[in-house]
Amino acid sequence: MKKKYSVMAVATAVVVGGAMVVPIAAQAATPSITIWVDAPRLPGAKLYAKIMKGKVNVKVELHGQADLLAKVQLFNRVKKGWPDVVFGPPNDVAVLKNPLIANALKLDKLLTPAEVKGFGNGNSWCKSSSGTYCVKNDLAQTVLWYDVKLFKEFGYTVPKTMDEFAAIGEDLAANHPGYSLGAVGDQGFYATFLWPSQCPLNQEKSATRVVINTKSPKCTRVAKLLQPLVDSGVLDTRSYFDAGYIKDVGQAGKIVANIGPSWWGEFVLRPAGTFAIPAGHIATAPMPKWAGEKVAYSGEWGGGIYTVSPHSKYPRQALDFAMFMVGDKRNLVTVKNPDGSFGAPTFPAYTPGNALWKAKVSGDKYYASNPFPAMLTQSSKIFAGEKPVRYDSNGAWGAAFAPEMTKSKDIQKAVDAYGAYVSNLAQQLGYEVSTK
Amino acid sequence: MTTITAPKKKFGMAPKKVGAVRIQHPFSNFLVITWLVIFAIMSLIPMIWLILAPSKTDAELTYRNPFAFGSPKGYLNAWKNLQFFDNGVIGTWLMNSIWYTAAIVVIATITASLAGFVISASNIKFKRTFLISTLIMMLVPPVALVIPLFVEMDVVNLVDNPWSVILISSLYPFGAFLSYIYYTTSVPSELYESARLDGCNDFKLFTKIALPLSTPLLSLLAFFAFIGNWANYFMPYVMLPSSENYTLPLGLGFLFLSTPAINPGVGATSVPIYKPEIALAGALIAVPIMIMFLISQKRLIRGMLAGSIKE
Repeated sequence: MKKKYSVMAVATAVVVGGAMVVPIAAQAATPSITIWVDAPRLPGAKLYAKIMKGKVNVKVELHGQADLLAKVQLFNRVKKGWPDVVFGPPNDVAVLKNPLIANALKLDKLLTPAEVKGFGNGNSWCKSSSGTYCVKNDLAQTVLWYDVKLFKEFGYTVPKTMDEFAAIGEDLAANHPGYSLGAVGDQGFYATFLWPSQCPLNQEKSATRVVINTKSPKCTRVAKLLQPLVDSGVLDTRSYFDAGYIKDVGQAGKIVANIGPSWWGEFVLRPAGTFAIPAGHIATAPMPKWAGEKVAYSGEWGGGIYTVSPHSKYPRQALDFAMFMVGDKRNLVTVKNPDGSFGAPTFPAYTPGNALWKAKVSGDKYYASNPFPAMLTQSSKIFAGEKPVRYDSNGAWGAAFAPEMTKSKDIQKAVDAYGAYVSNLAQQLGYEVSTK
Repeated sequence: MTTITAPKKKFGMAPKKVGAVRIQHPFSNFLVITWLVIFAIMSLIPMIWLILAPSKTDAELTYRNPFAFGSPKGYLNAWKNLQFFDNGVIGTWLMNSIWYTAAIVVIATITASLAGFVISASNIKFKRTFLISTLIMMLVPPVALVIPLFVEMDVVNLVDNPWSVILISSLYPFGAFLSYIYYTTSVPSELYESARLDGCNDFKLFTKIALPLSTPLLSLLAFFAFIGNWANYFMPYVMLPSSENYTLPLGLGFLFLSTPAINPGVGATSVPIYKPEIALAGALIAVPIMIMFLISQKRLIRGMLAGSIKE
């Protein structure tokens, strides 16, 4: 009997002890995460790995944007190899959350209320009817960029409506030929005119339905207002990045104003290799409002995202990295970049983050006035109707819109060509395409 | 010796002959030389541009004459910008490229020459089947095999290991076929037969007879293996997800994709990689191929012509 009790006591001790030991061992294990980032995010990611040493083992890998899409099906096949958290282009989330790929974790339960609140409208791109599947790194909201010296010389005031914007274009054509209000031969046309006008081109309503309607009045009004400016040459049909446009217009100081994303000043207007506009010329203003609208919406040209893998053993640690990148001063302001600059290159999507980042541009003597207020105003006014879609909506600008624009110089025809192209892509991927 | 027949009389003059060598009409010579000069110019222009481009700044590349020389500082700046990225990780990528390619060249040359010899001169069965399989392998594009190869490498636990790239790339059906042609046409079958009578088995036949006669073939195999793998992007891209294992073309590819120099849609970046840096990187990748060609051109031409004439 005594022996029996002894055996029971030992067995109980082993079970209880085991139950106590196992969780302790699990807690003691240092979490490990693998991060994929592109070259501009690499210094921040490496800094994070250094900061977390001892708490989280962070492996940082350099990858091209959208690289995960090319690799994820291989990883799915062998059931391993997925990185825990990945920086990618904005449209990736639509593909990654697709059940066939299933590599974007739903973040609603992981994000704290404070984090959700901190994003405000800044994370609406990542939200769909089924949940939040990514964290937005930066916003590329459009604002009006204008040359204060040319505005003064020609006697213009900052346009508050698109009609006023067009009126400036007509005056330029009549009285200052050769001067420009920008270019319309690439994807920028979508971000700067069609999207802010709420033209339904990639409005995913559910996982199986998308609205594409180039005949909507929200689309046709763009063509109607801007076609005369294309005809007069005030809006150039080349791409902003066309070597001829850079040389003939940008570097020749002929851009009076143009609508562009928040990164436009630092990376296109200023650099010697692009438009090389001298200091003291450039200022920003909020977006001009389309006629009949209450809100002056922005579109977006860029703006990366972080997705967390549902296969990650440490999803919160993976998300912590993304939050570090969008909200921590050490990345947004302090980290040294390969070009010698400091901090994040673009407008952080996280409100506490962009408050920290503000100083980077606010005090920059290059600008004729502080460009930040217009960026901040527009950051909460990105029209949320356009959504990430599973087809290559960005590539279609180069494949369908640009060739038609070059050929016919007709905005509506080019937009129709884009609409037909993406409708076809959408149907191939199982979307029902509707016009409402 | 092969005879060369005289062409019909044209332009009022018959071609002169010196021994068996035909002397062309001056006008024909002029046409041939002009044609060759045009092709030489077409080939040289991109190379000259590539070499001159890093001497200029990004802005100068837009507005200056494409063949204008910037300054020697340009090369230095471009190199610094490339080298500065991630504490000189480009050096690691370069070393990876060198050792992966060297390993592939050695393995592929040995296995292809052995395979070609076996198909042409050994006494094994199913030689014809092996030959046809080799030809079929030459026709299959690598992209078609990506999933099975990835799964295979995963099974043997070699994903993210350089040996996955080395072993797969060492499969060299074109080399095996080239060797088969060489051993069939350049080495007389009587030689193999005599050696067999003297007691050589297949292995000795290869090492004592075929291999010593294969210098031009081995040069050719090594050259093509080098060309095909030095700038290979696809296989390392699929098999090697870790940055420390990247080859030069793969690492530079990822680096450049993050900059507006190649991908204007990227727009904003804090990486100082512009067109001159990309031109310099292109030159870095192309120059070893050019050097390799210059070093081995004599052997290559001899190798390519081997077996073309029977005396």
